[in-house]
Parts: sequence; structure tokens; C-alpha cells
Amino acid sequence: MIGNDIIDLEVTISRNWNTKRYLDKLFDPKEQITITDTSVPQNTLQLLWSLKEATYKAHQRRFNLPRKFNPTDFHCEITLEEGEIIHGIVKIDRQTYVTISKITSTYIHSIAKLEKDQNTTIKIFEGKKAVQNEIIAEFSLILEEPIINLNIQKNKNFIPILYRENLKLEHVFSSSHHGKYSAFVIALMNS
Amino acid sequence: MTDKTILEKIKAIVTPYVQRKEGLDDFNDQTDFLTDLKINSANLVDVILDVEDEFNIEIDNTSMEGMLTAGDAKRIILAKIEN
Repeated sequence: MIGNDIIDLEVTISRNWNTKRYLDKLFDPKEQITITDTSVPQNTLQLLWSLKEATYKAHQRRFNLPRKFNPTDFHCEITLEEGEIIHGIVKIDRQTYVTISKITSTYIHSIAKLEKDQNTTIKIFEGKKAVQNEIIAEFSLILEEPIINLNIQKNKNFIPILYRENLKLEHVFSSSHHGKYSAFVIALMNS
Repeated sequence: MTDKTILEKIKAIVTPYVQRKEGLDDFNDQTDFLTDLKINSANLVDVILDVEDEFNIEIDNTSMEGMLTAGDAKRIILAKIEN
């Protein structure tokens, strides 16, 4: 199971970001220390937020959960920093997801996976693009199926589901949009 | 405070964060902050803080979980101001 989240760093962060009441609604005390202990607290805040969002999407799809705004149920930890790649873990309801993020000067992109070895296809777009069409185009290549036969519909919990004509497919994917960026991740069959 | 007044105040609070302005045209209990108004999920916290300030209430994280529509927000506000 996977999820992803993109953050456009040029979109202004909340004016409340460095207030205790804002942080208390999003982050546990340990996460707040992680944020305030860095030289770039705004970026670290956005990084941890993207981990929660990516994990939320993976977890919601996995259990087909109704929507809920519960960021403090997700507990993140950064485990390894390798240049612009950041590894982490997120815990929710006794489940653990691993995360991999990429931070550039203009965006943060995070993916959350249940299985560490899960292979994925990741695409990030700048500018106005209909990410749904890009996902369908990618599945068209993966499934060797004409684009016209594929479509995406949201289920009652607003989780996007891929269909081939009227047949619901079990393929796992996640899309994200923020500012001028869009992104998607598709889970591939492990060879 | 009437339901209508509360709804109008909620509309004023969310407006700066709305990315799909046409979603405000028919603002009612069913208006969904994420799907109809396309408010970024990170800005939902700002909406909640502004609601706390406007109504002088505290919205705990459990109440916050269910604040996805204008009607959800209205019910939570009503329950808090009655206490």
C-alpha cells in the first residue's frame, strides 16, 4: 500500500505556523521538537506534514476508511538524511509505514509505503496538468490497455479507484496537488 | 446566535482559504471544505483556529477530526457555545 504528497515550497506557509496552538493541532510534542530544533523549521514542518498526508492516503486506501482530519494520530520520525533524500517512519493505529521524501529548493515530495520493498513509479509535474489523465496514461502503458478503456472514479470515501470499462481494478495509486506541482505514485508488481 | 448567522460567519472564515471560489456560491450545510471548496488540508487548521477565535471556543483534536463540511463546523460550534 502506498500514498504520496507534494508540497510547493513557494506557497506561503500558514501565518500561524510558529504558534503553539497551531502546532498542537498537527504535531505531537516529539515532532514539535524535531521542527523547532532545526535551522529550517518551516521546511521541517512541511516535511513532517507531507509524511502525515502521504501516510494518511496509504492508510485510508488500505482500510477504505471514511475521511477524517486526524493529523495527531500519525506519529512521524526522521530516521536517515542523505542529502535531498530523507527516510522516515510514520505510526498510526499500531501500523508502521516507511517514508521516503525528496526535498529540493522548490518542493517536497513524500511517499509512504507499507512494504519497504514495494516498487513504485513516481512522477512529478510542474505547471497545470490534469494529474488524473497522467495516471491513466501511465496505467495504459503498464496494463497495455488503450487509454479510452481506462477511467478513475472516487469511491464513497473519496478514494480514487481505477476502472477498465466497468470493471474495478485493484491497482494501488495516489495523486497529490499543491501550488504549481502535481505528483502521483503507482505501486508496481514486485518482480 | 441563529444557524444562519453561524453559517455566514463560517463562510467568511473559510473564504480566504478557498481555492474553488464557485463553491461559495451556494454555501450550505453540505458544502464540503475539501471537495467543494478545495481548501488545502494544511489550511484546515487555520480555519479551525479562526473558528476558535471568532466564537471564543476551543476545538479539541477529537472534534476537529469530523470538521469536513460547513454543517459539521456549525454543529461543533453550536455544541461548544451552548456549554
